[in-house]
Amino acid sequence: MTQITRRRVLAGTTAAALLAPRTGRAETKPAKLTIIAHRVHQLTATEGPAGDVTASWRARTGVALEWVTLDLNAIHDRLFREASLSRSQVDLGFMLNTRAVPEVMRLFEPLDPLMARAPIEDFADLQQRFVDTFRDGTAHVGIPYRHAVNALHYNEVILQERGLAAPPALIEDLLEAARRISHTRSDGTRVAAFAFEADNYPTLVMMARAFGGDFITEDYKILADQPPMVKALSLLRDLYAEGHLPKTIMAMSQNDLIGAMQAGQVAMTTFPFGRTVLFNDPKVSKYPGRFKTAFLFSNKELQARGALISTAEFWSMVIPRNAQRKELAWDLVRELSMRASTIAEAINGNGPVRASAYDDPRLKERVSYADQEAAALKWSRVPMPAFAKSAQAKDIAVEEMQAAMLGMQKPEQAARNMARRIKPLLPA
Amino acid sequence: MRRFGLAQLLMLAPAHALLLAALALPALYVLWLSLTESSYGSASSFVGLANYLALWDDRYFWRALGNTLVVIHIIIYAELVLAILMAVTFAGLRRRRLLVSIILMPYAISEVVAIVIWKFLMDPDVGALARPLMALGVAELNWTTDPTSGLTLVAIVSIWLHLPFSFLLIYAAVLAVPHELREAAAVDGAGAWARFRHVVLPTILPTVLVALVFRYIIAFRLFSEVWLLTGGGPARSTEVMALYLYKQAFTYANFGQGAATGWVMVVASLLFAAGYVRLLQQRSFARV
Repeated sequence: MTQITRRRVLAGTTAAALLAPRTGRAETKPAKLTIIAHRVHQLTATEGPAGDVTASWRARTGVALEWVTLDLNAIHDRLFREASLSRSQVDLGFMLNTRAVPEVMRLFEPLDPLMARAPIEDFADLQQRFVDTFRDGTAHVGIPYRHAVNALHYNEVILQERGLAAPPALIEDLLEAARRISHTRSDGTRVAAFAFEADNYPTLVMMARAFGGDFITEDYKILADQPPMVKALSLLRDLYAEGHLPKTIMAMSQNDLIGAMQAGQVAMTTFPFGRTVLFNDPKVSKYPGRFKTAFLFSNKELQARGALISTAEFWSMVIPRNAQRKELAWDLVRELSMRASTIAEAINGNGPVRASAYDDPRLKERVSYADQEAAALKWSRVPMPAFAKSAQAKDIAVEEMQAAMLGMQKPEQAARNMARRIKPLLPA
Repeated sequence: MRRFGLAQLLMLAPAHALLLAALALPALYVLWLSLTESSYGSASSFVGLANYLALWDDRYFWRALGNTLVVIHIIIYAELVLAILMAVTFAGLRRRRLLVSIILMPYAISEVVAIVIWKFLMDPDVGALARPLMALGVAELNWTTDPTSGLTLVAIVSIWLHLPFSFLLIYAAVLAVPHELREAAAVDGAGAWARFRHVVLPTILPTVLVALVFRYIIAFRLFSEVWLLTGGGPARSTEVMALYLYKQAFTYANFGQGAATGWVMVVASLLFAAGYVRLLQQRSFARV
């Protein structure tokens, strides 16, 4: 019988150590491609009624995909940190439009040379304003993957019970409608007419736009101290003071809000169109199939000329400059951006970034809100343009909004504070 | 006494190297970072004490520091009083295993899960704990809109989460108090309070001080409870130091100011703990 001796163990270990790098060099293809993303990106690319969009790519290349899914802040922190290293194991990342500032875009690979060698199918069909946001000078650094256009989601059962056939279309009618909708059920449960993510600012911006104003313009002018923003803050204060928003709205996470909608504790909310699937999910919703979508609140002038208020954010795919497998990552970007892939991802719940996707009969058949979303997308604007200190600006807007809602300061003062504090943060 | 020579130093070297690599170097790097302006995509530049001066001028920093100091003092002292009371009470009981297990249960639950459950329980609209409390006449719990109520809930949840730590230390110390001492005190006519005051408390005091020092250092990093319950709101009124640091470093990508906040936290917690460490030295390790 062969005996295991110390000498043999040492010899074996040394041989293994010497052979290991040779074996590694012998591999021509990496075993996996690492992607930093939000869970929603992974889900829409790999799961849903249209199936796994990446399956054929993985079969063709023999490369597995490792999805590292994180929360909003964590995605960008990890991605930018990785991209700042001298060498990264991350091959592809997803970046939100508000983070696409020149300082950050320099960390990512200019895609034009890759695009020249292997073009994206029908590149002009991609929403070009999304494409343009991810330009560093003249170079493209990101290819759009997903948009999230906001809709007004409402529980038609609650509205009908309160004598309303549809939610209010005009911002001026919101308070009156809320007074009719909010009530306490016989079991003691309070139903709030409206709710939104009070730790975020898009709903405030949407309301300011519905009153005819804005927050920060595309050319970085701050309009937060103008009367429309004061009206928006006053409306939110009144809605809260009269009990038409949940008492806990300041501390409600996105999941809390979704849960409250599903349980019938909130009648209306603003969320991307795709969330209607969650609200109507028979496994968790008390009102499956009874949640509908509508356009965001508007005003008479816009309504008269057929325009819409619509806020949207979008995500693009970026390749770190220090990535090791750029060609392969680009190949995956091309695959995910193909027309057929975009439609499949949309059926899986994604916001399609190709204008033509909404004409596809499969999408129209499977996605009930497709026409509405297409119309909203046409009018959509980002709530705030990208700039280096946008995260601070967002926090200031949220802080002043919350202070106004709780009566800690008057809406006029909150609006003035917002403008005064944000102005120095804007690009010159 | 044996001589401490080169051989002993070499034998200790791996441990010292590990400490240096795991603690000292990162701490020094953070100190260097606190003296620079640093963000993603731009080279760091030395700015001296500018980040510390920026903290000095930032009212949100002072508010976060104030909130932290008030909340952690409430947490630490309430927790210690509860831990001593429970340890002394349980030590005198016959069937105490079940009770001890119940006290230790919060430590078996994930911190995040526990806080989220507390959040559901205390929801003023639908909370299984908040609604009965309100029905019993307890004033409406506006912890999401009133900063004082918000920080009170943070303190309650934090005490609930960390009580097992202080309890375990103090309970072990109470069990170690010699029975003869209590008996002798009882024979001398000391009542229950006098026995606790003059026998048990002086004996367990060094352990209480150890618990106090540890809890000061741990409590200064208070984050999850605030982040998950109030998120620092409304209007940043319940922000604590760790949350302020997180925002600076990971939301605003202002690494220099985040690092400076980290160092202020370290120094502040050490200053507070130093007094107790000195007391501990005098009580426990003083040379006779």
